This record gives sequence, C-alpha cells and structure tokens, in this order.
Amino acid sequence: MNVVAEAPVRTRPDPRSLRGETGVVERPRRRFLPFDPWHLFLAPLAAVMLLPLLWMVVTSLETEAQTFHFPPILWPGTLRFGNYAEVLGQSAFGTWFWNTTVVTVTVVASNLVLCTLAAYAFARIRFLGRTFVYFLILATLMVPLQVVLIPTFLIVKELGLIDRLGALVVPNLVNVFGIFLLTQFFRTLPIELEEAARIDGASRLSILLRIVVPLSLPALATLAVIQFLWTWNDFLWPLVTILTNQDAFTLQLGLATFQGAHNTQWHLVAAANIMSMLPMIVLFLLAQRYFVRGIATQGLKG
Amino acid sequence: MARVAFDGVTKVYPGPVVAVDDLTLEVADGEFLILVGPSGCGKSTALRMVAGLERISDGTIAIGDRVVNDVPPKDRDIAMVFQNYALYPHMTVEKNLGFGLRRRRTPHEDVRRRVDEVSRMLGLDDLLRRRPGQLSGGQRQRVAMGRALVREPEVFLLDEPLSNLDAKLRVQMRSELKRLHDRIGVTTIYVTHDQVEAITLGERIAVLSDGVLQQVGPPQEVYDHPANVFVAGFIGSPPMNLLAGMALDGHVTVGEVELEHAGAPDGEVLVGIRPEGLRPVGAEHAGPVFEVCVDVVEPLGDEVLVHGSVAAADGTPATEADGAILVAESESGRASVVVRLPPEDRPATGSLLRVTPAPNALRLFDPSTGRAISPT
Repeated sequence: MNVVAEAPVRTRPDPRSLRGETGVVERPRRRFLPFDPWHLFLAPLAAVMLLPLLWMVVTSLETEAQTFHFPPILWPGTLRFGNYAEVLGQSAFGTWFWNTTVVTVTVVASNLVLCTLAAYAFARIRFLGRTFVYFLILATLMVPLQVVLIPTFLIVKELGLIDRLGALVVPNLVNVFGIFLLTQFFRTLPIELEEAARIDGASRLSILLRIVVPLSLPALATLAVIQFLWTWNDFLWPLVTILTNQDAFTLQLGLATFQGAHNTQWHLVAAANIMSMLPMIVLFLLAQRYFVRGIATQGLKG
Repeated sequence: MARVAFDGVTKVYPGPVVAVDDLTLEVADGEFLILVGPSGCGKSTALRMVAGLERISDGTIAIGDRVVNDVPPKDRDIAMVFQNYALYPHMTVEKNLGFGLRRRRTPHEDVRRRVDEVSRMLGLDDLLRRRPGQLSGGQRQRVAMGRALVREPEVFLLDEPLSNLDAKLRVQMRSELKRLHDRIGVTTIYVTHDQVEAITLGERIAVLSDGVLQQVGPPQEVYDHPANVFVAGFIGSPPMNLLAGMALDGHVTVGEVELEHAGAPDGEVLVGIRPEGLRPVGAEHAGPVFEVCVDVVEPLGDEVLVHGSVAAADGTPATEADGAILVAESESGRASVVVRLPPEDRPATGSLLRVTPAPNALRLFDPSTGRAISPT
C-alpha cells in the first residue's frame, strides 16, 4: 500500500509506458560503475572543450595585469565585475548588441519562412524541372564564400546598402543550406498525413502550417540555431560592408576594436565576448528540447 | 449517401506500369464492397483514385451522379481511413477528430457535438485529451475510424484498416466494423489483401489481380463458383485443389479416377475441389475414390487439414494462374491436395486416406485460359 501511496501522481499517462510506443525498451544492464562507462571517455573530452571557456570567464574577471601572469591564473582570488562595467561604459556595446540582434533576428526569421516555403515546394509539389532547379540551388553550396564575396559586395553596393544594416540582412535572407535541410526533413514526413489532411479539406498552405510545420519543429529549431550562430558570429561580411559607419557596427566588429595594433585589452575582450555569447547560450538551451527526435511518426500504426 | 461507379477506369504509372486496367464496377448506395487481391494488384490505387489522391489515366469515376475525375479530394465528400491511420501526431484525439470539420468552417458547437457523438459511439470519450503517441494500436485505429465518421461523408474508403492490429484485435474490430456499417449504412469501399476479412465483412467482394477485375459477387458465390483459377486459389484458405484432368463424354478423368460431370466440353480441363469438398469414405465405397497419400496433418482444433498427394496427370496447366500456389504441381504423376476433415477423422501421417468428392463439389476450368467452364 505504501508503494502505491508514494507513487508520483501523474496527470497524464507516461507515453513510454503505453503499448504502441516505438521507443526502444531499455535493457537492464549489470552495473560495475555507478555511472555509464562512456562517461570515463566523455567527461575528459567535455573538460577539454570547456577549458577555453573557463579561461575566458576567468580572464573577464581579472585585472589587465593578471591577464599576462604566467602560468595563467585559472581561479581568480576575487571576482571583479569591473571589466563588464567598463565595456558597457566605454564602448558602444549597447549599439553593437542591438544591431546584431536586429540583423540576426531578421535573418533567422526570414530563413525560417522562406526556406520552409521553398523546401516544401521541392519536397512535395511536382513541377517541371523540380529536380534540376533543386540541384542547381544545391550546387551553390559548393561555391566557396571567397568566390562570391566580391560579386555580392558589388550587388549590395548597387543596392545602396553599404554601411547600413541592410547589407548584412539582404544577402542572407535565404540560406541554401536551410532549403536543403528542410527539404530532406519534409521528405521523411509520412505523406499519408498530408493526404489525410487534403481529404479533410485542408489547403496546401493549411497543410504546411498545421501539419508540416508543427511536425518539423526539430528541423526548424536546428535551422534557427545554426542560422543564428552564423549570423551572430559573422565577422568577415560585416567587416567588408560596414566600412565607416560606427552606428552600424555589429558585436563582432565591435569586439575587434578592443584589439589594437600594439596592445590588446584581453580582460575587456573576454568580458565583451562573454556578454556577446549569452544570447546564443540561452537560445541553445531553449531549442535543445526540439533537437530530440521528432514526433512525426507517432500517429501512425501501432 | 451515394453510389460509386467505376467506368473503364485505368491507371498507368510512368514506366509504363498499368496499375488498374479498365475497371468497371458499381458500388450501390449503402453497400459494403470489398476490394481484395494480392499486394500490388491495384486495389489501393483504385481506392486512392476514388479519394482523389491519384489522377485517373482513363475512364471515369462517379460518386452519386457526379463524375469526380477532376474534383479535388476535399470536395468529393468522402472520408478515408489509411492503413497506418495517419493520425496527426501533434494533435490530441479531440483535435484529430475535429480537424476536418474545422477546415470546413463548421460552427464550434457543431464540431463539439459531433466529436462527442462519435467518440461516445467508438468508446473514445476518455481518450480525447491524449495524443496518438499515447494510444494503443486498437485505440489509434478507432480514432482513425472516428475521424472519418465525424464528417458524415457520402462514401467511406478504408485502406487495409485492420492490417496493423494483432490477430485477436483484428477479429474484434472486424465485427465492430460490420456492426458500425449496419448502423450508419454509408457506402463503403474496403480494401484488403486478407481474403478471410473479405469473405466475412463484405456484402459483395471484388477480386483484383494485376489491375484486372477477376470477379465480383457475394462472398459465398465467389467462394462456391470462382470465375477462374486465380479466384479459386486466392479466395479460401487453404485454396481450392486444382488437378489436371481430361473430359470425355460427360466424364472427367483425374489420374485413374473417373468423375461424372455433365456439360464439360471434351478435352483437357482443370478440376477444382475445395478442401472440404473431399469426404472420407470407407473401403467399401462404390463411387469414385481418390487415394490421398498423407504427408502432413495440421490439427486446428475444430478441424484437421490433411496435406497429401493423389495420382494425377503430369504437367502444370493454366496460364493465368499466379504460380505454384494455385495450380497443383504435378510431378511424376502426382499432385498435391488438401483435405479438410472433422477432427475425429484425423488420419495418421503416411497413411492412405480415401476420399470422394461431395456432390456438386467439382468445378472445371479451362486450362488454357484459366476460366471456369460453366455447366451447360
């Protein structure tokens, strides 16, 4: 009786405990260690990955003198948040942050919308030359950035966007990689779902919005995060197109101003870097749950 | 409700592959028609053409009095249950059921009322807040049925709706389906490859093979009088025994056994006898007797299937037959047969079983065309 009384109260049944769930049944395995043996391999690897990050955090809390100490101090005695205040006070960090946010949000949003539309067409709508056009578009993925840098610059210049945020947005409105990613994902969705919706009276757009998109959240989240990272971290393209207008500087351009020809204020660079990284970390944590496998096949046979 | 009429319907896929060949068939208003055939025979394609999911290459399909060749699926007033149910995984059962109604801008109260009605009818009331992933196979099947029912369509299209259920549930859902149809009486086209399902469910069954309609009729008639060797082999489990024979002057000779059969034209024939059409007889029996060399005995509880061989002519006749399953392989003058017996008559393996054809159990087929030879 106690066992029953202590069992956690569930408002919803645990999907995994129900018949018909296709999840793999976890085999009870004999435990020699209190954790999975893989952790012995993965934990040091994770530590190696985290070390530079930790160093940066520590550096951001140090004085300028401490940053040049050898061997490097990996655990500061006192926490100095002065560097952050200094970055915020002495540079146009707020402007850079705002510019980057505007550019990134616009680019991510337009990619989600436009790539979804294009990908759905390639995945599901039959039209003359579909395969040809698809491969033609994919072929542009093979062209390295360096090759298109100057032509793109000239186009953007013709559009009169040099030194303006538009220069960062317009060439990135659609990303071929996004079309590719979503097309492949849409093709894996069971066609019967869309056929059922057609019979139920849904239009193409309605099918896309009510069936395909909700089932594609994992792919859309992936695309959003990747596009966010690319745009947020992009340095080369802003460097080429934002020439003199300090008001249109992005974070990456701004961060570069901390590095002078003769000396670099590492403690400020670190503090600014940490602040510029925060949105990405937040986004990653938010989108993480969508990365786990989609649920698209759960409505199918038992 | 409405009738569905196929008129010379043909579907050609690029290749070209003819999936459905000149299908002419009428499903009466309120009828439960089964399209049955082996996989790849075009039955699902035929159904999908009614649904509007496949274009019709040639011919017309009419629902009611309206030719629907160019009518989009949503305007055909049909509902379909898919083999894998195709429930929307991200919606609750309630949303799944109401999706079609909401797309048609049905007022909220009406949607709720009809969803309630259907869920009560199918026993889904307690599951309305769940998602498909949280349902068992049988429950999902029921939701799929409900999603079709809730729209109150003119025609119900079911594409192997029970094939993903386990055997026990399938039998249960089968009778439920039948009861449901008796109650609502919607014209229903039901596709299956399972001939047992076909015989038990349908008011009429249409047997398809290679895109060609082989026979249409009430299940018992199709079972008793198969139109050709394909139907004889496909409908009924185990299939009809087919033995090569020779007809002459109102007699048919199979091996050394002479059977009486009026109306067969002289020449080679295929003799078909259902497994239950062979009755065991004692040594004193005067009529024609097959001596079956018993190879395998399969007790099924209520009956016993005896697999064995009898003396028969050499050669595998019948051109239309779909390979070895249909026509008894005759090697070295013997052909295999199956006999269905009551359990108390169970013979020993290796023994000799004496059987005689029951009256009216003989069916004759033309070995060159595979077609039934009707008694004149």
